[in-house]
Amino acid sequence: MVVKNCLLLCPVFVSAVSHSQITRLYSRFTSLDKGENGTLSREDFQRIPELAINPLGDRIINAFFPEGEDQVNFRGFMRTLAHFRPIEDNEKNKNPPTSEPLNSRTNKLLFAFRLYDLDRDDKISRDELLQVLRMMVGVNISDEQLGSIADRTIQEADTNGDNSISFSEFIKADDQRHERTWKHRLDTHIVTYVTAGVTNAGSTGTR
Amino acid sequence: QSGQPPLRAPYFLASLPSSAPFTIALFPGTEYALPGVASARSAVADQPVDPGGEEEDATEHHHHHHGGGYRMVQWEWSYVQTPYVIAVWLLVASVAKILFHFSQRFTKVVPESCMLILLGLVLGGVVLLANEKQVYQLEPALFFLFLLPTIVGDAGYFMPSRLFFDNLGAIMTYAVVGTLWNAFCTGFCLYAAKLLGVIDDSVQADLMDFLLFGALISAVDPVAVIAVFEEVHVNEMLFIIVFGESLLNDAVTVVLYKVYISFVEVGPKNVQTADYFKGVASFLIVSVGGTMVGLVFAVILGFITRFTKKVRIIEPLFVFLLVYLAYLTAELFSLSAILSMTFCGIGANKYVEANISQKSRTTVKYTMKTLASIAETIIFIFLGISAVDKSKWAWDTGLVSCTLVFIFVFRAMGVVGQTWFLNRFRLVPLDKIDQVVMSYGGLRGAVAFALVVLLDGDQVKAKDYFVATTIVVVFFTVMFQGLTIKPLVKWLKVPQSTNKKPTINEEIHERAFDHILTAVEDIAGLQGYHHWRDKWEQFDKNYLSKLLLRKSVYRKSELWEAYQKINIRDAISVIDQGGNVLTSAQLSLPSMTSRASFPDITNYLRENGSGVCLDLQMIDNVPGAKMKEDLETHHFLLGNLYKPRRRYQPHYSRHFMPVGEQERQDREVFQRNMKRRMSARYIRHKRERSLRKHKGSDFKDNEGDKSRRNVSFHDKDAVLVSMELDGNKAEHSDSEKEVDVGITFSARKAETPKQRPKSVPAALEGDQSQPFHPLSPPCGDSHLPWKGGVGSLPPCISVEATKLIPVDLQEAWNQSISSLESISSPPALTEPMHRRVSALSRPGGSRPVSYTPSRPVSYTPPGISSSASQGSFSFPEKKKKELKKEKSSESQEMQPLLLEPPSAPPPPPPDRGRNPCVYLRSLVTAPPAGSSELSSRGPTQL
Repeated sequence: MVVKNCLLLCPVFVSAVSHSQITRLYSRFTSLDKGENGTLSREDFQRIPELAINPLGDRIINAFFPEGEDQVNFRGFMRTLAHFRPIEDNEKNKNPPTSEPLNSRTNKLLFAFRLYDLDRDDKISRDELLQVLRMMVGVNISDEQLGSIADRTIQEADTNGDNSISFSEFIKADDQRHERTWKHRLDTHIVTYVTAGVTNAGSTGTR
Repeated sequence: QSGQPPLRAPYFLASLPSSAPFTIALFPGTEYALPGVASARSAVADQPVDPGGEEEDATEHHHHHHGGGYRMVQWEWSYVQTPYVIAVWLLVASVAKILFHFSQRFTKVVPESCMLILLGLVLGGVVLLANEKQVYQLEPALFFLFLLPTIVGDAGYFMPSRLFFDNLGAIMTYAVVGTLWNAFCTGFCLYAAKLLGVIDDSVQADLMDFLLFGALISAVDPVAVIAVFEEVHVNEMLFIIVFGESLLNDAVTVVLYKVYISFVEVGPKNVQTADYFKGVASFLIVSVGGTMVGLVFAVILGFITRFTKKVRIIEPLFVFLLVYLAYLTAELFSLSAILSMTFCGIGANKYVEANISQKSRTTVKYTMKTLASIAETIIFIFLGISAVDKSKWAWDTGLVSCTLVFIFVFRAMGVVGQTWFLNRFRLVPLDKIDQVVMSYGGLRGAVAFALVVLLDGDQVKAKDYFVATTIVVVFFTVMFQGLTIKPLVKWLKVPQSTNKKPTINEEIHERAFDHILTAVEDIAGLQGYHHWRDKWEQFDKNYLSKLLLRKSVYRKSELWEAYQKINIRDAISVIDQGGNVLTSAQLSLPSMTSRASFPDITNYLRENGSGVCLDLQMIDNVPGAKMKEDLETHHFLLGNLYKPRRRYQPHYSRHFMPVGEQERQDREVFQRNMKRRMSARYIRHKRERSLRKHKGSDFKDNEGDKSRRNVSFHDKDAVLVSMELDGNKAEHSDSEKEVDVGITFSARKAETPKQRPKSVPAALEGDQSQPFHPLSPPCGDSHLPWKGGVGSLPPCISVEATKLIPVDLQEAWNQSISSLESISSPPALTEPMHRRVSALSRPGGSRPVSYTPSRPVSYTPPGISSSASQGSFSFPEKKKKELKKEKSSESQEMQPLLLEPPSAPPPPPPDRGRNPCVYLRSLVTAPPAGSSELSSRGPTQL
């Protein structure tokens, strides 16, 4: 029932995500929802063991929560996950939808960008970058080393000289090498991992 | 026997070689039952380690008082023979291993199993030359009763069970269907080849014989597969599939083998249709029965280890004994012993690991690995030795070549076909490379060999031919395929990688995205979410864990146990190095302050940065050096960025068990995340506490004024669930409330009852803790915000999670506190505390003018900055606070509203700020009135 409501609520999915996928994600949602109150709290997410060992785990958890909220319902859950739905071939051929789908490359990148950009000023400052770097490297790295890396990273991507990375710079930063940008790989990743999951829901063999 | 004289008896030598194989002598029981058998010639004679023994040690037969008279030194060979031989044998194998690993380059190219076989060949050659007749060979009994169990036990016990069950469908398919396919096809095709005359007429075998042979030759061998795969470093999933398959298909093979054997014994003509069904039934019984026996023993093992607290020393023994008993018991009922042992290991692992002590865990781990390693070594050496003995086998080129071709072709066909089928259901399909590796990785090994040796030469006329063929097949697959599989994998994977260097941005973002994807997969449960697994976990939690885990273990979730340890260690280490960190903080501080005025960071760093930065930047000035610098950074990042999970190597390794990168990384990350969460939690509680003090007066204001934009990030970080719990519980009953209080820190527990005026009903008390709720906008609009929030949600939030927290949390806190008390040095503590205070005092709302986007540094949201950039520092402060709370709770908490100003730390001297941005913030926000109480109240008021 809730699932159906959700279908109504999320036109994005009606078009592309099959019923079984939603059902599956919904059952995942309910299994995460230990409080059984129809929403997930941060603790529900934090209870996922794998996230405890993911360096960016808490950032990602936060991405599920709209600003200022501490609960996310199934719709919000799906909305965030939808970023990672693969871009399907038949979708590409269709006439472009009025609004950009959540899973467009830009939106995927935006999602990543937002994880860096904590203060939502649409810029990754040196400090924000530094924080993420700090999360992603081992403890044995000195602050100086990290700082210099952050500086170099910003230098490399910064085109307008404001010592921060804007979203356009963020996208562009990698466009310099067309053959093998990480975005390509990003798409590959998504196609390989997430898609497979979302499409063949509830099957026997999983990772 | 005591007076056995030394024998100088070369003439005995002649009588010895004809004696039974050495391996039989390995069984004490057998040995004494069959005195003649015990006269096996010692292995020592062949070993270089015992140069003088050749002549002298041939002293098997018990000649009593041969020489007469009293001897000072006696030659007690027969007395020590069996253990001596075993020990020397193992010594040789182990020394050989050391030698193998001397040359790093060599071991990279040649799998260890190949080298062991080669060693076996050499040893066999030596023995053969010395004796002209082979005395040592792999005996089925030795293999099945001792060598195989150690290997299987090790594999089962350390099997990454989650991965195993995730891929259970695929594993079962490959193991059962694949093996049956291989067995039948190989059998029939060999028979066809025989009919066609490809196979020589001297091979006297009919259809049943060939089917039998097909069955025994079709099993992929776990020993060989582990040996090769772990050196090839295939991906985790592929590894577990092939490895799991090889474990399970042994069961299939053995069952098939036994069925055929009984058919052969009866004679093909006498086999009736019903017998075929019996065969099928026996197959089911054998495998299911074996599994059941294993599970039963797993339960027993778990149950026993529950009570070993007083006898820690024999904990490991229980593990070995019961796992081994599981094997023997299954064997006793002629069920599948391999399955039994595997499932015993898989099943018991979780409970045993939780029950036994850390040291026992280590002991079990090392002993199992050692035994398995020994067994593997011995098997391969025996294989080599057996091959030398020509009398045991007969050669037929047709049979050998046909077999080689057939097993390879059918393996490939089977893999491709089944994969095609499985990929329709799998979340993560097996790609072409995986299939090639699987086909090519179908190594045959000792199991096949042992089975073929077991054949009864009277009933299976072509036994000698089969033995020869099996040896060749084993050699070919292990040696040739084992040697070439690595280059093959490399070669196949080449197209995937390019030699272009990614930019730093790519490098970082890519890795970040990997992490994100991994996390999303985890959240969406793509790592293998099963309805059944959920059910199982529920069952496990409700019944099994209660039955099989110690009370103490059961109460404590492992997570919190780990957290507690980390917590304490951190507290200590922070204090220990507090001075150092502060010094470096002083260094970096000026750079950050002035950076605000120098927009060009690099310029600034070039002038004033620390040594490291300076060097790098200097290089930057030199034309052309940029490349080098890039390279350095690249390497640096490559080496130090955390790796997403899927890049891990397979868990299972026979030869190495490092506390690998992965484990270290997991620990670090886990530690940080927990700290972050705890600090978020702490903030919440602190605020809650302050709110509570100002209850009734201003929480409604909070509501109205709360501006979403101004919610600083740590607000989002804060975990609010147990807040709600407070509210919910309070509504239910006072007693529940008490339980609930336990969730929060001990300080609060102490304070709650006191703080609450007697006239205030419990429910109201609950409400008072609610004002936090307003943080979520939806609630903000309802009439009674805290009620609104609760009302909209069904009333129960996982109690279980919160139940776990309090006990451990308190312990953790207490222990940290005590450790802090003993070592704490005030400066180290006050500074971070100040930082936190300032953090709290800087709510989103009243953002000082000086906070301008041009200085993003100062924007760091407190919650994050504390965890990300200086996670370790958020701790002492909490502790200190906590400590203070403890101390003051009795007295100060009595007065609800209280100014804690006296206890508020004085703003630290500026130069002590470790993190410049924190320092900056503290300057900017200038904690008003120096009252921590007031400032911490800030956020909620806004």
